[in-house]
Amino acid sequence: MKNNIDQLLELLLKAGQILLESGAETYRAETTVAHMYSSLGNGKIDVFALATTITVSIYQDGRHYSFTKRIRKRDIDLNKIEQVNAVSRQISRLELDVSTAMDMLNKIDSKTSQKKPSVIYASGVAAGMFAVLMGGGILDFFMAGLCCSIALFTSTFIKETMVHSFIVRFSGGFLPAFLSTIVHHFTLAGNVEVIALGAMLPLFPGIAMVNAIRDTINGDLVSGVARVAEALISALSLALGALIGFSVGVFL
Amino acid sequence: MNYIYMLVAGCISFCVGIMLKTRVKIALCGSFVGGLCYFTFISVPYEKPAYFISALLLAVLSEIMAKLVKAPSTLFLIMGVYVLVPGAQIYQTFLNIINGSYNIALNIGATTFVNLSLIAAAIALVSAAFGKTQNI
Repeated sequence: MKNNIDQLLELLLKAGQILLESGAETYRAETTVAHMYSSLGNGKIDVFALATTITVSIYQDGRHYSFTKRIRKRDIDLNKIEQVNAVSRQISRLELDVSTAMDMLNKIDSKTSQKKPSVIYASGVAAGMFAVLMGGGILDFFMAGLCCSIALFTSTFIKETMVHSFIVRFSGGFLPAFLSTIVHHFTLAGNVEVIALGAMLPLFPGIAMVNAIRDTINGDLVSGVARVAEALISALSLALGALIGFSVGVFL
Repeated sequence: MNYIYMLVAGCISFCVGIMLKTRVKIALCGSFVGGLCYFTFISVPYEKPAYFISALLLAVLSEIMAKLVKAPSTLFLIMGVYVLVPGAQIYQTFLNIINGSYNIALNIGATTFVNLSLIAAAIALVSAAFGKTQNI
């Protein structure tokens, strides 16, 4: 029985961890874990999730069990959220046992869901379209797309070599600003502001800010405030990078 | 002209979906939601109600879409809100603070905070209304 509970805790924590690392809301991670337990176990459960940790404690068969996991990286990966959700549905329909579910979660966690080139092309097109939405022309579209693709390519490279989100954001602000100034200097076309804004589209902390305020409204105060701090710091690092980028570009 | 912007916003939502690693089918549904939501946003003449109403519509549409496609509503919400959310303004606030234009920064920052809160409030309202039947 003991072994069983350990496996179960392991499974619940893994599900919560994947959800939080992929950018799901705090309440979603908590309720998913609680739902999974309600169909797998027969005791009481309490889940406490933050943006940086998740703790699960279970009271079952007269004993308390508790487990904590630290969340170290935070990214947005919608496919992982969807797959964990599917596993959770299957569990609540009692179609899966603990060890198969654990295998599925490990498989979800280990693979990256989209191929890298398609992500970069898509971000380029999105950035271009965003520049058009901000009042740019056809040239702004191409330039913003180009700058964004280069910046995203570089920042994914940086993300793989060092896990420091401040530097990733900083370079994400620096490169679009720098490149758009260069492009403007050489082709004398387009609007620097619009190109730079469009090219920074993937890094703006808008979603993070909305999620933070939502968490706070929901009553997850600690998590909400932590997310606000994260969003503000990422906007600050983006702006710092952009400032340095613009000034270096103008000097050249 | 609004219809062109709607198409552009739909394209952005689709690309954002691919960028955030969803499947193509989900991204298509998300682009529909995002386009419709942005169309509402530019059709409503006043700024603050426009944010609230379009976020409300977005949240309702993504809950419905979540039921239809059997995927969590967060996916559509994130894709759709990308065009709506004033993320650029948060960055501009900090850029102005760094440049020393505090008045402009305060102006943009306060407006952005209110707009973000409106979006968040609308989404929270809808997810509370769908509360019990929500797909988890």
